[in-house]
Amino acid sequence: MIRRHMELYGTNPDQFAEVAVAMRNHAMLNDNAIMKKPLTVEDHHNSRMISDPYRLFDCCLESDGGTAVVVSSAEYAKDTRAPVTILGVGEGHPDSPSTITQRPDMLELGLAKAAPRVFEMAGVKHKDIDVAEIYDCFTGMVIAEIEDLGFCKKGEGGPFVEGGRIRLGGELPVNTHGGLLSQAHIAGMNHVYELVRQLRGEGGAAQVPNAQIGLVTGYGDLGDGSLAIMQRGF
Amino acid sequence: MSDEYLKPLPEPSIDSQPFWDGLKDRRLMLQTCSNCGTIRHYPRPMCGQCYSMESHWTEATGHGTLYSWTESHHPFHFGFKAEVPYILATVELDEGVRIQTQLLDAKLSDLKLGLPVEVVYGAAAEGYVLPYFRLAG
Repeated sequence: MIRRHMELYGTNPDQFAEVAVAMRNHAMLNDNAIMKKPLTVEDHHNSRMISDPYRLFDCCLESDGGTAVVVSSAEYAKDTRAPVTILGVGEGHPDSPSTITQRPDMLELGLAKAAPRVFEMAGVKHKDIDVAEIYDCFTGMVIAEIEDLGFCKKGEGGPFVEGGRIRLGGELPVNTHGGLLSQAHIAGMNHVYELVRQLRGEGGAAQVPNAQIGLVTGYGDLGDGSLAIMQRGF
Repeated sequence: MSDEYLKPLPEPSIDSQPFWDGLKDRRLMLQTCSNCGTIRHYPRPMCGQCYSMESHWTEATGHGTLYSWTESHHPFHFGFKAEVPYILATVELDEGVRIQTQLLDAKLSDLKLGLPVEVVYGAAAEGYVLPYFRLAG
């Protein structure tokens, strides 16, 4: 899938490396992360090839672990310590949801259908998003999901991640916990946990200053996509 | 080195049996909806367009174009250990469906989207024949 993205749009390994390095930098700020050793673009480019163009550091971890989330009606959550409001949720499936190869456009994920619905339900715009936790099974998937979320046009995800934009301090900090690539693969539940942590202002060294609204995505290998947008407090 | 065939073999189902039988005769067969004529691959019970359960089989030309590819360096199954790196391709057949295949005798640096390719047949163990592709000359 990502080879086609590269051929059509010029997406390149430096952009994949930028995703890997950003996730690693965030993991290094997280006491509850597996991969804490500094990673450079050169380290990424020198890591062994797994399935071209993906090298070792383009691939997420395989981990054991658990995450629990308590969801309740707003009324019951009123007197809890630090509630976070779910503003919108949705999921989408690509056409031909049963096979990756047969969908009309291999590069269009279910997230492309879910995103407009969820942003509308939440009543927020892309510029309102302070932090994004994006399912990062492979570096290229972060680029593809940023496109299907609507932060840029299809094909512009590679340039979008350049220049520190997805790092802490950037325009759209992504995976402030280190993600599946460098924190741990807890099936994306760790992304939900991290968004709540950020919106509670409990992100520690990886806290996005004054994070009010954020999003979290999920992704399945056949292209299914899900999205939730949440807000600090009520 | 032993000649033992270590890779997984196809496991034909009631839906896919004609596909595998066709390959034994060096024919690439595609499942076709008997109601609306839509060709589908992989083989499955129902047409995704009109939901008909009736189907028949059509022989493909064996020609198509390169839709995407990867070069596999890490053997995720020990049977492929001696073969890596090899090129795994998604080929768009002239009939409109796509097929996953190994692209033979090709250099990664020569590949481009849309290059014409053609089927070649290769034997696997237990009488099975598999569809490979190569760049069309």
